[in-house]
Amino acid sequence: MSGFHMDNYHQHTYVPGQEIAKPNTRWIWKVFFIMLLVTIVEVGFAFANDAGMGQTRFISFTVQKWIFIALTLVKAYYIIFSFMHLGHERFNFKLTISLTTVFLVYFIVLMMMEGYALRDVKLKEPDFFTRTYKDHHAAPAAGHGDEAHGEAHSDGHAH
Amino acid sequence: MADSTSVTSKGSIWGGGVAPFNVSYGKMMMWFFLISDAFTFSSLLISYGTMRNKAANEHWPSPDEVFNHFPFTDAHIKLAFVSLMTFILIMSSVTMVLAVEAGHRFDKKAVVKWLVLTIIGGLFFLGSQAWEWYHFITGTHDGKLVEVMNEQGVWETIRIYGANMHHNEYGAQQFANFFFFITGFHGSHVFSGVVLNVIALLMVLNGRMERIGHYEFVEKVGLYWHFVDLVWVFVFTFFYLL
Repeated sequence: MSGFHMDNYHQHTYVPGQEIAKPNTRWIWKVFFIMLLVTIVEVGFAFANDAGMGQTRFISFTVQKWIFIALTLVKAYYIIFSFMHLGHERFNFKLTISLTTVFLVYFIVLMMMEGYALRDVKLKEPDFFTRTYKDHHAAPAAGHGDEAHGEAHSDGHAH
Repeated sequence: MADSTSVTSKGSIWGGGVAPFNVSYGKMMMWFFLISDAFTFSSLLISYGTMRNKAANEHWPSPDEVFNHFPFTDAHIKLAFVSLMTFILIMSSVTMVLAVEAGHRFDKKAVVKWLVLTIIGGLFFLGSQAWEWYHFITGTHDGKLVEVMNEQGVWETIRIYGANMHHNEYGAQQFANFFFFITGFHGSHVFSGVVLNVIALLMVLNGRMERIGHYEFVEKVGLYWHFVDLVWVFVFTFFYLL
């Protein structure tokens, strides 16, 4: 069914010998310059707000971080909705694609909190993530706290 | 509008006979694949953030310490080279969208031209990434002294250079591991994008698009290529800017 494409999508079927239409590329270059500008702003900002060589930042790193994330989302918007043409698709398709990523928000919040929780554990017990299973069990318990634990312990003796 | 003329009422689009999303099956499936790929990359970047939050008193390298080389110079300019890489990839994204636009007009010559430029951009990017990896793995001239426990269980001081999966002279080991994994995974996507572009180019040169009556294959490859560019935008932010 070759007519399928023509009827249902904004596709034109090729007719041999047809005239080639004039290019319509203005919007492409517009998006390109927006993305270029955003990247230049990001890099310039990273240079200007540098804390190296004993200088101080004029904006705190937290604020800088959120500015960068916002600018990244701006670029992502232009790539997805303009270059990938999602902005011109039907509304139900736009929703199908973009709503799916909502799960990521929850995932990000969850895992960032997890990271801080792990940091707190690490700061409290510096060897928590490096000691082995054996070390956990060989750790001095209430009864034999003075006992040295090292090569002297055989596996069976430990507990 | 773009909506099909055969759709008479909103309720009937799911009743069969028309494409409810008004996109072809192949394009829709490419989008669904890209969504799943987006979740993979998100998981990687999110775990990078988690480990960075966890790092606490470990030194997390900042890009101006690690990625400050520029080809053919000895100058140390932070972000310069990676900004150039970003520019190359955005540029190749533009040439890709120009190829898709030319395909809509059945302008075969223009499609070939823009696809070739896209492939060149992709290859330049891959080369830049290889160069970046080479410098990260080789490390600085002086290296760094670290204390490690040898096989006999005795602590000794050794000098390490650069980064790999076992040591990282710049700071936290996790930084090196995530860098290799995420940029490597992204690089493999760029590579498959280049391969797909070459396939599309051969199909166009063969006159296949005129025979089947549309340039949709170029459009699908374009979606993939833009996605690779999109991922790089995020990698650039989280690895090099923050």
